[in-house]
Amino acid sequence: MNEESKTTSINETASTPKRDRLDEIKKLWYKFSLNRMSVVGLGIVLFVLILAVFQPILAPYPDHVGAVVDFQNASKAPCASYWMGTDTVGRDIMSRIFYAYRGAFTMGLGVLIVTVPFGSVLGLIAGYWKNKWYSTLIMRVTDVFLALPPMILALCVCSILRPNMFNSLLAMCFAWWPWYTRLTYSMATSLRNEMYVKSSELLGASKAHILFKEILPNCTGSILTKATLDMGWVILTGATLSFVGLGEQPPTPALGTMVSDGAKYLPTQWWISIFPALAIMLIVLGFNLMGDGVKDMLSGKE
Amino acid sequence: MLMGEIILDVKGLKKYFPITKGKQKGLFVKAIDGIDFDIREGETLGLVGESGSGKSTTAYNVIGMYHATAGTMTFKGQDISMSSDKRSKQLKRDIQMVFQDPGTTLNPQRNVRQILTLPLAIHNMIDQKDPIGQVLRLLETVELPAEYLYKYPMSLGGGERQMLAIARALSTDPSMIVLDEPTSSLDVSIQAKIINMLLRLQKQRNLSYLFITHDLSLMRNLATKVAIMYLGKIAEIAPVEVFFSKPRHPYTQMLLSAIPVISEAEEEIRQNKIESKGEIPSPVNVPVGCSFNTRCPYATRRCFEEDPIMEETEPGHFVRCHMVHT
Amino acid sequence: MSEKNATGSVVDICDLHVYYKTYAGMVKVLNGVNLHVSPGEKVAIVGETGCGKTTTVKSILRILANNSVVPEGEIFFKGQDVLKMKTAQVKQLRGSGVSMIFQDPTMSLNPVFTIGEQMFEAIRNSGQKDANKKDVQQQLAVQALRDTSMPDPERILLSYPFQLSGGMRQRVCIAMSLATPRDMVIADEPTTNLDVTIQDQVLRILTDRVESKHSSLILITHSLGVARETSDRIYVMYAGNMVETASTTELFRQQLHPYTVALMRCIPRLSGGGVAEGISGRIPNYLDPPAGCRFAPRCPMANKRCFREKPGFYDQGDGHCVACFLYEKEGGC
Repeated sequence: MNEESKTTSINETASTPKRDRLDEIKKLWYKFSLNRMSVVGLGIVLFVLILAVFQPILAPYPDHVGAVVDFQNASKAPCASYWMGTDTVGRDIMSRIFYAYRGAFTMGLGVLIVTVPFGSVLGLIAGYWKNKWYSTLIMRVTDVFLALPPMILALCVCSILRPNMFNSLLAMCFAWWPWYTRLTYSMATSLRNEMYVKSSELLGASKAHILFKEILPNCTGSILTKATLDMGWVILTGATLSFVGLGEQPPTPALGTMVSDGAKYLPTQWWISIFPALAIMLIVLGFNLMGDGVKDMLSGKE
Repeated sequence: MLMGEIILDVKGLKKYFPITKGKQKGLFVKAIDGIDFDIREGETLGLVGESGSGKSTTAYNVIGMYHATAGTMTFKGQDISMSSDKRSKQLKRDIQMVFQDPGTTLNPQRNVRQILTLPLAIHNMIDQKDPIGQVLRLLETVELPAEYLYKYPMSLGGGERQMLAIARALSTDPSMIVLDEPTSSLDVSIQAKIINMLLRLQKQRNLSYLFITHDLSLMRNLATKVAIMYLGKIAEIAPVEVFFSKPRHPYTQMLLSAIPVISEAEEEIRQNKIESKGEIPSPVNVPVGCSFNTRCPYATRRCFEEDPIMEETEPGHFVRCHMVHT
Repeated sequence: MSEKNATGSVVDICDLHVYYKTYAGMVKVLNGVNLHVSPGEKVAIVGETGCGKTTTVKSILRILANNSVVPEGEIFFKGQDVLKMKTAQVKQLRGSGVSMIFQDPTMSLNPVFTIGEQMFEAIRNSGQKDANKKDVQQQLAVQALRDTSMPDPERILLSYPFQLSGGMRQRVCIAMSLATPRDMVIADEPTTNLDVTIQDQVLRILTDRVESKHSSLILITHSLGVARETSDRIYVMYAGNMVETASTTELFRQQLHPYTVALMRCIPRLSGGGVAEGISGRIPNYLDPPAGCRFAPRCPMANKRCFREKPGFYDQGDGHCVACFLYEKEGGC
């Protein structure tokens, strides 16, 4: 008889939650990295994040984010001691951009942390109980919010409240949540007919279990992909808000504000506007490039 | 094997689906049009039929995915003609189901442990002192290795997924399991393993099975009683030995003739070889008279006018056919 | 092995190895496949899921996935080396030499054209007599659909694929092949989703047509019963190797390879008697397949040599070949 009757299996080693999760992560990374542009995007985002977080160490003039003036070095063109030049009161543009990135990330994460869970859960409920009155109500309200241009909505909210970082964040939350509701609604309406959902229903599982443990895990891929792309959009919208004077108030630097401040000095003192504008472009580009990779990574899990 | 009391009794079961749009609006798809059968403790009723026969719909009615349009279904004396959300928890524990395609009935985002724990959690059956051990024992029952505990269904083979689905069905210690073509998409060697496991479990736990398949050869080796369905009605029902030695209904004979067999012994069983012809009609436009009259080689005028009724030709052997009396 | 070309065979596959490149490594699916189809012969390849049956026939038509690699082996179609063919020759091979019926009908049916449009196009390109005339196309198409027991063929021709059920789509694919006879038909599990009574009718039509046109047929199936009723010769495949081949009557009279023996015992019989316990173990991991015979880990007769060396394909006479050291002989297949 053969002693080697123990056959090789697809995954030879015993599976533990840790090892399986590690395998999962390795596979996800492989899928993500197939798309070279996405890796570039990730690199950009990480780079910008490091700049923002370690601003006090990395920036040449970390204190220029505050109320500092140095008229001696005002409006200097990019040179060795000021890589991106200085603004009209002598502050180093580069250091201020690094700091402004903090505001951008805070805006992006802040808006998404609120809108993604809220919008998604609402969509799940509306989708699972489609054709019930509360589902219709939720979706009609969502439709109304979707019909309003996000910029206008944010501007309205901001103008009612005092302009500051928190309020502009709040305003953007108002505009952003319905997209997630719409997304999870359409996913939930189709997923609720899946056999594994029906199996769980037949077994007698509670509705909460079905929504959050059976349906939601199958939506996270799309939700995360959208959220990644949305980071870029939120930051851009935030920059637009601060461009018109809402959002972070001076002397704290904000990317949009920096662009608008320097606008009147174009084209002679171009560096005051152009570098902040490029900074906005860089981070939005980073997230957009990542988006494709995230989609590949999370879809077609097989 | 000791055949116990009748555990499931179905009488006059009907399930019609209304058509809500299109040209045929207002008509009904008569998926099941009046069937009677019963299953005893420890018995396996094999429900055989082709597409459109209503066999899967019968399974779904028993398990509670649909409620019956008419007729009665009694399980251990309790009425179960309503859908599962209106059923008691005890019923959900006692009747379990294994579906055809384990790829779709197991959530790809849940691992083995979570899948097996769910029914235990719902019915408060988790062994608080040793919850992991409990799940491992379930895996052992279906001969899956303990290492699979945290794996996801996608990394298991088709046969293993089905065994996991069976373990899930067994977890609540049910009295009856409904199996809808559980091995149709599996290889023959894996099917053999699963069938033997099901037979063993049946003996150990005195389980009843309602086993649905289109494979008569499989039925021969698994069922105690066989019922063959055609267009929503049972054409013939008999104990397994009788069914295969003396098939009376022309559809049964046609089906037997069509099955590819691999030995001479099996060829002999198909004494009245009827060549299959024609196609099953739509369950919306069921032919007047006997529903099989479009394909039956023995059809007479009566078959186009009168729908035959179920007659008992010998103890336990019922046939629905006008020709039985000639 | 190359002597076979001289006998005028339609398909000759010699020691074919096919691997797929994946993120986890090289998946070594085919491990030296030998296949030989004579003109007018009906051959069935029987094997379980994942054994490489589809890969084998796809390599004949050169329709393997992009990440496939053929490190060794030869394929000859009517004496021509398929692996060395240029694009134009391959196109001709696929267009007029071989007709393939896929397992999944969605692969062959374009959702934006009606069935009729697709069938007429296939007939037009088939090079049959008067194939350009509309009424001839209609006639051939309707007849082919009738042959596959499709109700109301004229209406089917006007329908789109999504309007038909899965089983009907499969029959349409079979009908397309019937309407455009070729020298060789390759059918990959053509009847798996069909009812048994329809399967019976369709297989009879397919074999009748193949016989009347003197075409060859390669039928892939996992059912030995279907193979028995449709083919002249059966190849049993396991984990990327042909393990046994014989004429159909011979194979059912006597199985030699331990896998074939075990497989037969697992098949439920209409005459009762229960089924065997299955075959212990699993199919090998193609990323790291066993050296030597791939069935050895599951074989009750295996010895040390089986794990080290790969057996050849030994001829037991009358074309009954086995890939097992138990039957080692001179003279390969």
